[in-house]
Amino acid sequence: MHTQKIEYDDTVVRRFIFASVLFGIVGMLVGVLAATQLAWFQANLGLPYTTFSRIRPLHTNAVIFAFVGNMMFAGVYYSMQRLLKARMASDLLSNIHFWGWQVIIVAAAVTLPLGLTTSKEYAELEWPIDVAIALIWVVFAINFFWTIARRNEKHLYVAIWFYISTVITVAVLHIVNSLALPLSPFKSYSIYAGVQDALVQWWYGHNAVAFFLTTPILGIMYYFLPKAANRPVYSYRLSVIHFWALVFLYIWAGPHHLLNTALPEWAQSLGMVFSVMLWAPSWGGMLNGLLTLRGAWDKVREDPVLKFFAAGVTFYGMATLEGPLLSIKSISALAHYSDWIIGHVHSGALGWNGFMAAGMFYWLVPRLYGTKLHSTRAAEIHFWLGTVGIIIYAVAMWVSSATQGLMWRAVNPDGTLVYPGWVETVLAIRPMYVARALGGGMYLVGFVMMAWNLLKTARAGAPTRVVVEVVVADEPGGPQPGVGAVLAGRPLWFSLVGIAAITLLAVARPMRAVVIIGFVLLLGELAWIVAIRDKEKGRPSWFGLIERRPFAFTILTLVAILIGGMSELLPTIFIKQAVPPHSASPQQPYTALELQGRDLYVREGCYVCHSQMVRPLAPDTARFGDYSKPEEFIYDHPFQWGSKRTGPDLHRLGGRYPNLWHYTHLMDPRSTTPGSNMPSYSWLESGRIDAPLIRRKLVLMQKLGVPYTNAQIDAAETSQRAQADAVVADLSQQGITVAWNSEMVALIAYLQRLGRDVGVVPAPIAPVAVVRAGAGTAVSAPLGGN
Amino acid sequence: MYRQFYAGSPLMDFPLFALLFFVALFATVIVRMMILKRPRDFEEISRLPLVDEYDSTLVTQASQATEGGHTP
Repeated sequence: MHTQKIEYDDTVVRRFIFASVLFGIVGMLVGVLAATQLAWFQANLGLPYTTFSRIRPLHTNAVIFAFVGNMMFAGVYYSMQRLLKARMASDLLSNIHFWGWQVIIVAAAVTLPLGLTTSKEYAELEWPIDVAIALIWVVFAINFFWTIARRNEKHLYVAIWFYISTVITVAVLHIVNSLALPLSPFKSYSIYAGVQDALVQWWYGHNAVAFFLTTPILGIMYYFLPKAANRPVYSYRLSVIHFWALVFLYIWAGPHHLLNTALPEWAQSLGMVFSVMLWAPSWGGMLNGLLTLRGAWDKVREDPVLKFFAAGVTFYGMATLEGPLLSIKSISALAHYSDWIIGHVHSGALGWNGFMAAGMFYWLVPRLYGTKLHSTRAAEIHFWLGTVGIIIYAVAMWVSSATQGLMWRAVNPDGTLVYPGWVETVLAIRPMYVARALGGGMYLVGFVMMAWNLLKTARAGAPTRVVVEVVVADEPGGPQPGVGAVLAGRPLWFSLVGIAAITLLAVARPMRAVVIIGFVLLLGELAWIVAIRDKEKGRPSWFGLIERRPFAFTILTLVAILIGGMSELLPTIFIKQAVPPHSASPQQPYTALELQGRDLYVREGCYVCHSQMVRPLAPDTARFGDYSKPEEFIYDHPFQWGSKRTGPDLHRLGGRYPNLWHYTHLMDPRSTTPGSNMPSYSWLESGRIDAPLIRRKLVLMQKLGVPYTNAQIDAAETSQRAQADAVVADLSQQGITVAWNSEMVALIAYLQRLGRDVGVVPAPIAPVAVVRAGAGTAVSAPLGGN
Repeated sequence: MYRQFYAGSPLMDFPLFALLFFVALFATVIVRMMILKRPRDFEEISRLPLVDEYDSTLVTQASQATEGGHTP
């Protein structure tokens, strides 16, 4: 036993807090601007860089990776040093991590408004930034695990477990989902296509929520909530169950974002079942958090820190009840593509992440600057502004979803749609968009008050230098069992056999299922008996075996997340017949011009408001046409299914309207669809495609498996020009003059191609109105247009 | 109404059973946590967040915070 003096590195904590607050304001400001545009499209100022479809990814990335990311790092760096009784292993790595992360954020803030995007939600950043993220994450991981290795506290508190799961899972998710072939420094194509790409993307997307927005914040909850309440966590045993159940179950839930789509049925069912199961560990964690406050509720009334924590944990409980509910197929049929999802993620992001961040900052900053919080009153006002803002936001989105979702599916006795015009449903929810902007604005005002309060607090004090002397027992409790003992331990094998048996339930017939359930119950009973006997004999429990072994612990966590990930992803990647044909005529690759147009569709972020997935549901097929088949997307690198329908689905758009309609609609959406909230994309007319680049694009697509022949590649520029000339000639007959290589022409060519393969004959819609001042004649149609 | 709702789903009993089983298991775990006395082997670990430069009174098996750099 010896003593050791340690000076914690709190400089990096202060930096991360400052960055989190700064980028939080920026990210939320962009969010309010985007929300405002839904009610008043003119708020984009007529600029491409500030248009909803480009700034929405900026908002999500800024809030997730800049605000919550920096907050998470601040919490991790602060708590892990204290929990491990060790300074971070390398100040250099800490600094590289901090500054590298900020450079990545700035790069995102520059590239996304410019339209440099992969279009994969929450992973929109292009490949050089993806590489930088991977490198900086590795730097963080080295510093993190190195610190664990040098720790003076042998116990690994549960918060560290949650951090470990974050570090390894985010790395796996990011690398797998970001695999792409680069075309240029600013453009790449996903190596996955269609159904595969959708599944990988939402495996990533959902688990970004799980392992970036949830597990690290749970770690922070398990550290800061007991500190603020000055009492240990209510049940440490429950926190252990919470951890393993959450980590194992979460990774399976991604397909619930793709219910009723062209994703294979089995994957949808898996996603739904595991999502419902997630409710239990999530609420276990929530109850553990709230019960930690048992006996301290009087403090909650007065202490803004505890107030934010209590509300944050409550919002976590609400969001994790709502999530499984939305993952049930029949509910998803109503709620998916509607604003309910938006309300759900914001009650999680603003309520859980935002309030936990506020509680942590209000607790930390006075201590990091050796002073008291500047204004408790301001923190109180912040709390109520935030709470009321979230409630207004969430209620507005619920009402919006119920209104629009029911209008989408309303049918007359003869089976026709009651509201065939899409824009009718948009106009009905416009007041909710106003309320949403108001709620978000209130939350932002509260957040700015917090920034002011923290700044005043910091200025009133000075950065503290914390030196502690710790007494270190060389090997407390005697020698520990090795990794082999952990891996060969009975509890692990009981768990694995149990999981395997439960997995068999998926394919078992009813009688066998009953036998398997009986077996699992017996196994559980046996494990319990063995555990009691082992305890009586003084043998270490499973918990005792693992909790001081970070390496074995990390391996087991990795196994836990890989089981779900591989079970869902590998079948769609390796099974050759994963995409069954529905038609004798095979899917054809996009033409050269269509491919150029598709890239513009991606650049402008059309997927942000338009899906390309007609679900096999009567309201969908009645409104949009034949349902989408998996094979229609096999050349889609990346997929463009979207996740929200602010505008109508576009998968059966091809051939529905003449070229002139598209031109007019893109120039001024209200000329074809009065009341539409879609912004004008008039800059497409003056923009020019990089015509010679098409050859390299086709070569790259060929490498990705798209069956372009060498002859097609050689003739790419010629065929591109020929198709463009045909569109130009058609428009010219209607009095529209546009350059053959304008972006407008390429995008129209792509839109006219959508959904016209596998024998689908587009149903043209009868024109009902003709007028567009000053640009010849335009055709208006009641369906679809937004 | 119940029969009418499930008329088209003869296998609905299984997911319903699974859901009830799952909820029962969850409830059992929570109740067990609330009823059972806090086990001693977790007591020490659960107090780790409370041991830092702001609280020098708590001692863990492995370490002890003895000096605070600054206490606001």
